[in-house]
Amino acid sequence: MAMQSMMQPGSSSPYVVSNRRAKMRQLQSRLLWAATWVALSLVVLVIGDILWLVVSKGMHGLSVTTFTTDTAGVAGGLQNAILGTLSLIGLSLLIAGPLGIFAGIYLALFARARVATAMRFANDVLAGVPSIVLGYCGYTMMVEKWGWGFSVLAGAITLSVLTLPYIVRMTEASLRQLPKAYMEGALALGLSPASALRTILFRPALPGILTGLLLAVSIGVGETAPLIYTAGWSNFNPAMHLLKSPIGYLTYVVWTYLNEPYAAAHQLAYTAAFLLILLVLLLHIGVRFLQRGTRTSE
Amino acid sequence: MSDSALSVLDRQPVRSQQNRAEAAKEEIQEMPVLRNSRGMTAGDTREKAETLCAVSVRDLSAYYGSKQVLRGVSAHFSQNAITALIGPSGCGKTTFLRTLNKMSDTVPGFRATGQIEVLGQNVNRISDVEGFRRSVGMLFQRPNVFPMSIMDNLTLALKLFGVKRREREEIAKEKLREVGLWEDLKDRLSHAPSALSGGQQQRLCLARALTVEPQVLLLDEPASALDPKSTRLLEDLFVRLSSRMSLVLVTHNLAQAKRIAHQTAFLEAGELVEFADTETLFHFPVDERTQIYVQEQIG
Repeated sequence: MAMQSMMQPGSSSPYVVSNRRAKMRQLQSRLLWAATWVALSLVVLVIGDILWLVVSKGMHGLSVTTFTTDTAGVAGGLQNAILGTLSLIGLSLLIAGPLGIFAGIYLALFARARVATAMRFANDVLAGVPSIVLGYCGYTMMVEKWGWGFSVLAGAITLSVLTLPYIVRMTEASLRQLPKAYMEGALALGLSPASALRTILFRPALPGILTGLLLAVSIGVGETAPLIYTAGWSNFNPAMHLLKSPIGYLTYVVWTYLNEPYAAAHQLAYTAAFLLILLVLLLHIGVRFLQRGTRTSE
Repeated sequence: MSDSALSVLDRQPVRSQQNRAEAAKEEIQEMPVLRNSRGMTAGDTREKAETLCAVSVRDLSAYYGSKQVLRGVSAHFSQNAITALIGPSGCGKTTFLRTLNKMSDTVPGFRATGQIEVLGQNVNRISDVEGFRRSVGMLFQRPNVFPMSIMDNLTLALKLFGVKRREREEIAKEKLREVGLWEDLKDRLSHAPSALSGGQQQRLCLARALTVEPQVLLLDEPASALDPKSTRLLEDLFVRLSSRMSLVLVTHNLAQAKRIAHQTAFLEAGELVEFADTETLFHFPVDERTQIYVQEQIG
């Protein structure tokens, strides 16, 4: 090819690679490319298949009544589950958001190296705890021992513990990625670290922090196991009681209703799955949007 | 600018400058006159040296963990003069500079022994670090404009210290004029400073440091990232500022030290090898190590 045509026949230059070796390299390169393409298309195919299944089966179950009526037995709408998911997520964001952001700020700016290392490790361990274990802990502690029963608060707190590590990590990372010179310049001007954070660092870190919150929400939205243990299930709309009042949520519908031997139940499960995927997709688009915002502002 | 703005910042009156210079003339015979190569004398250095030191350090040693970076440094820097710190990379000059305004303390594992006095205050005993740092400004190697508008960069500190809006904008304008940026920037004060050139950004940072009226200005290789023209502009500003504040300049550029510094200190391996007025240090160095460093860099 191009290389060969440039080579002079019989050239004794030590830099000219022999023909056979060049061909071997080309072959290797092509094989590797092929392998990466196969791997990539497998991933895309799997995602595509899931999306197709959920969209094709879930979408035509979607109607106004889905949003306006509660589940009744194995049929009905999803209003109670949608509202339940929103209240669980909202409440858990109220708990984990401030906690996680403050912890992240502490880790990024104030913690001593040794304390920070220990806290970061603990945070990573927490992120790795299986959600069903968190659910069971929540059950034995809040539902049973403290007598809260299946409740919004028990569910939301369990979701908070689950999503907290992501918020902490994103907050810390988005503060750490800011130039050190911001803080140094602020201190040299006579600002305290706290006022430097408030007036200089917080705003450029905000898109990253919000990204962490959105990620936390999209993780929390998709959880089933911890909620089954703590929030229970209810066929009725959230009762605006924090305690002793079980609540419905979309993932429960997906998990339970697919096991029922009725077509209507299956339809409801697929519709719930469709709504969940739609929600997560929107959240991820939101994350992308925020991230692009940070890049252009730099 | 109104007087109340000045009182908030506890600004040193500049007007006494001439009287002091007049009074100092009588002592000229006894005390050495500090001149830089442009023939500018250091304002107050001929007065009682002991009480008027901008920076006075006795037996200062500093460590990062177990590594010693400063070894028993003792020196007295004159007030209203430019003192240059020169020496090979890693000799501890930046650490020395950052110890003066307690910025080193933010580095984990840092520890210092010895006595440091800045403007007559014992730095080790300062409880109000933020208040102290207001009187000791700092300029860094790379211009560190904050991610906010030009005006906000200049007024941020004043706002936090409770200066009223109109006053702080007046101060900002005055400082922009002082660093020669007013004409260039007056129409885009609400813009982000990231579009400015490196030299302009550094002068903006200088203006920002000046808004709180520091009496000592620490300069950490402030021109090393700039082109020659911007460097000259900055140097001229430093010389002009030295009539009313004390500047400590860390530099790798020996020509720069010769051009603007009244006094120069040579550090090597954490040790203060030699400290004299600039002329003497460069042309009649006493220590062999100074000779080698100064000559190698020039020849």
